[in-house]
Amino acid sequence: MLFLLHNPVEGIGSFYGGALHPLVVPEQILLLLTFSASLGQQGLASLRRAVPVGLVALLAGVFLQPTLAWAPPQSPMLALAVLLGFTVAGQLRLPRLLPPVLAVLVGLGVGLGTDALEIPAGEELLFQAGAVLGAGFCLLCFSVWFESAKHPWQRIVVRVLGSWAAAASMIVLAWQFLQD
Amino acid sequence: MLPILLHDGEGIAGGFLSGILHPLTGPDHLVAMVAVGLWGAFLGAPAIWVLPVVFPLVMAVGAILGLAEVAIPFVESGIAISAIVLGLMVAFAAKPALPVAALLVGIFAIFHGHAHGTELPASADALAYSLGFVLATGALHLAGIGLGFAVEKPGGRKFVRGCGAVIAIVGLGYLTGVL
Repeated sequence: MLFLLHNPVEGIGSFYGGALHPLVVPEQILLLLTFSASLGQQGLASLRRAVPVGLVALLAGVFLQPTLAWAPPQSPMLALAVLLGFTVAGQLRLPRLLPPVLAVLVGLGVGLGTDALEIPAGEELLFQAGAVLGAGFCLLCFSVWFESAKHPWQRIVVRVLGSWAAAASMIVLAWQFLQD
Repeated sequence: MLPILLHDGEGIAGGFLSGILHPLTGPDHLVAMVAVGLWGAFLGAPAIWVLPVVFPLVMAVGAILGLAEVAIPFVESGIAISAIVLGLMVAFAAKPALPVAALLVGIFAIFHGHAHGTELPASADALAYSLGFVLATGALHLAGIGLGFAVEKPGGRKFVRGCGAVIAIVGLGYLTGVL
C-alpha cells in the first residue's frame, strides 16, 4: 500500500518534513524503537555491526523508492515490530548474525516507506535527505540510549516499552485482519 | 478497507489523543492501572517488571476481542472489580507466587483491553489510538511503580497500603454505582 505523503507540519519545508516523517508514521517509529531497543539489549558489539548496516539500508531504501514506486505494506512492518517488541520485553539474546539482517529489513522498510509522492517538484532530494537524517538519527540515538540503560530500573523501562510496542502493533494487526 | 494513513494531524493526532485520554478519563481504569504498578513495586523483583510487561500484552488480546465484537459479560463490573481486588492485594500486603499474581493481572487486563477496543472511535487512526491507550496505561503503571518505591521510606509501607485501600474503595464505588 502506498502511503500518501504530506509534510507533517504545513509550511515546515520539505527537508524538515522528511526529517520528521518517521516520527509521524506510527509503524516506522514503532519499528525504529523496537529494533533499537532490541539492539541496545544485545550490547555494543552488536550495535557496531548492525547500525551501519541499517543506515546503509535506509539510504538505499529512501533513494530507491521513487524508482521502485513501491512501499512495504503496513502489516509486515507491524508484525516485525510485534516480534521485536517481544524480544525486548523478554530481554532475549539474538543469534549473532540476526541483528544485521534485521537492520537491513528495518532500514529498507523505513526507507522504502518514505514516499515523496506529494512533495513539490524539485524538492524531492531535500525531502529524501531529511528523511535519511531523521530516521538515521532515530536509529543511532535510540540504539545508543537503550544500550546505555544499565541500571535495573532503566532495563525495566526498556522491557516495558517493548511490551507496549508489541501490544499496540498486535492490536492494529488484528484490526487490519478483521477489516479484511 | 484499510484507511490510508494520511499525514494530516487530525487522523493520527486525534486518534492518539483519544487513545491516551481513554484510560486517563476513566477513574476505574486509572486506579486499577496504578494498582498494577503499585503491587508490582510492592512485590519486588521480578514482579516489578513482569506485571507491567504482561498487562499490556494481555490487554491487547482483550482489545482485539473488543474490536472483533466478541462479547465479554460484565466488562465494566470486571474493571471495577480489578480495582477492588488489586487495591486489596496492596492494602493487605498480599504476596502470592509470581504466576498467581501474573494470572490475576492478566485476567483483569482482558476486561480493560476489551473496553478500550470496543470504544475505538470510528474516525480515529487505529494504530495511533492503540499507541495512545497502551502508552497511557503504561505510564499509569510506571506512576504506580514510582509510588510503590515509597515502601522503602519510613512510613512508606503504610502509605502504600493506604493507597491500595483507596484504590479498592474507588473500585467499590464504581461497582456499586455510587461513583
